[in-house]
Amino acid sequence: MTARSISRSIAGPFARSIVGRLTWTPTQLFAAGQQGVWLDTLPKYLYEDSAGTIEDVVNGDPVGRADDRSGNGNHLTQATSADRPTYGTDGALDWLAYDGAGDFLSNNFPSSDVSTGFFLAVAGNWNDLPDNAYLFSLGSSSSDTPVVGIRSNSASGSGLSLVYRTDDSTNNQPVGATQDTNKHVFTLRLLSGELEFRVDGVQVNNLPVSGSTTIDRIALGALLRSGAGFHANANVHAALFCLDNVTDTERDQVESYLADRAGITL
Amino acid sequence: MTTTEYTRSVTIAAPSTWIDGANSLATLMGQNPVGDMRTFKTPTYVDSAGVECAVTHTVVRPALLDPLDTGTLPPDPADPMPNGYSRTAAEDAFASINQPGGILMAIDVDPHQQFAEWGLTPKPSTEEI
Repeated sequence: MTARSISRSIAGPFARSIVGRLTWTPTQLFAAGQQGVWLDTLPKYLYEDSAGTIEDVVNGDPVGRADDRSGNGNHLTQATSADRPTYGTDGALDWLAYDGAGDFLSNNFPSSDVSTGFFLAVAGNWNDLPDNAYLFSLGSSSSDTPVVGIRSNSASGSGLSLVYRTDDSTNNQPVGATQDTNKHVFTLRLLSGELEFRVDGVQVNNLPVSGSTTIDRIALGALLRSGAGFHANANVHAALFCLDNVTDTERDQVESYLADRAGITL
Repeated sequence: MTTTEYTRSVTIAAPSTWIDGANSLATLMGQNPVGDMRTFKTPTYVDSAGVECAVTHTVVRPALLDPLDTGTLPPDPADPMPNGYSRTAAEDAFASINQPGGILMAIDVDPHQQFAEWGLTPKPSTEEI
């Protein structure tokens, strides 16, 4: 029996969860050359230094580079020793620990208007919940205006939230889920003018947006600004950004993949 | 499976007036001339007296802490050193550690608990949203 025939003979999410893990990876999202980045925190994709020359990262080591598995070469790096996250593992799961005191990984990529459609996904947790602590963000290296990201947001009392700010400073801030320090899979998808926010496979908000949003930089563990950044004390198991219109099926597959990486049951 | 060599950690708060010196010191002690001159950036914490500080926390190999015991800084790790580096500034910054008005440093602590113990609180956010 082929993997596809097995999935048809076994009904429901069980088949997808088993066969999906065996046959599907985020590689397929980038098969047509879509721009983006896919980060896994397995040690074979991590290096101590930003140049990617010091391999064999072990539990407790700082990480200066995480390979981009999308094929785009958008490896996330950190040249400053003290700003490197730390690799962690319990033997079953892997993560990068960002200390909230300056840690982040980032990379620049070709300037792109993400309002044409994008998908952002991250599996992880905050260890504490201050205001404006970004788990994952997109921004511009030349302007603080356009922002796409997922953050803790204690000040407004609205809980975990995402930020989508366009080039003309129009702010879109869907109210998110109640924030906590548990692990979750967070996804943000812009498709046909609708911005959808999901937590653990469940939609928590959806709103229409318009206007261009031009970004050229991605960061994990922070939102980078021209001045100080907004850093998160957090653990990240996997993350993905795809500049494309991602279907519901693909979104679900990414969520399952990230949940598996983080040991989350959807 | 081998174990990490990074078994110690350092938490540092550099008052605004010490940021340049702290960056030179970080570059010298960190032995990583590429990038370490940007260890301390914009101040993000402030104390009750209004003194603003740039902070950092990092895991380190034990040998990096040797100068704290010996009082002797290592030689410059590269030739030439990066733009903006000053060994004199690094030495002055080292001498200021945990002195009144100087750089604050603690070893093997949780950084956020330590910031609080030092009386530091995050500066109010300037995020528009």
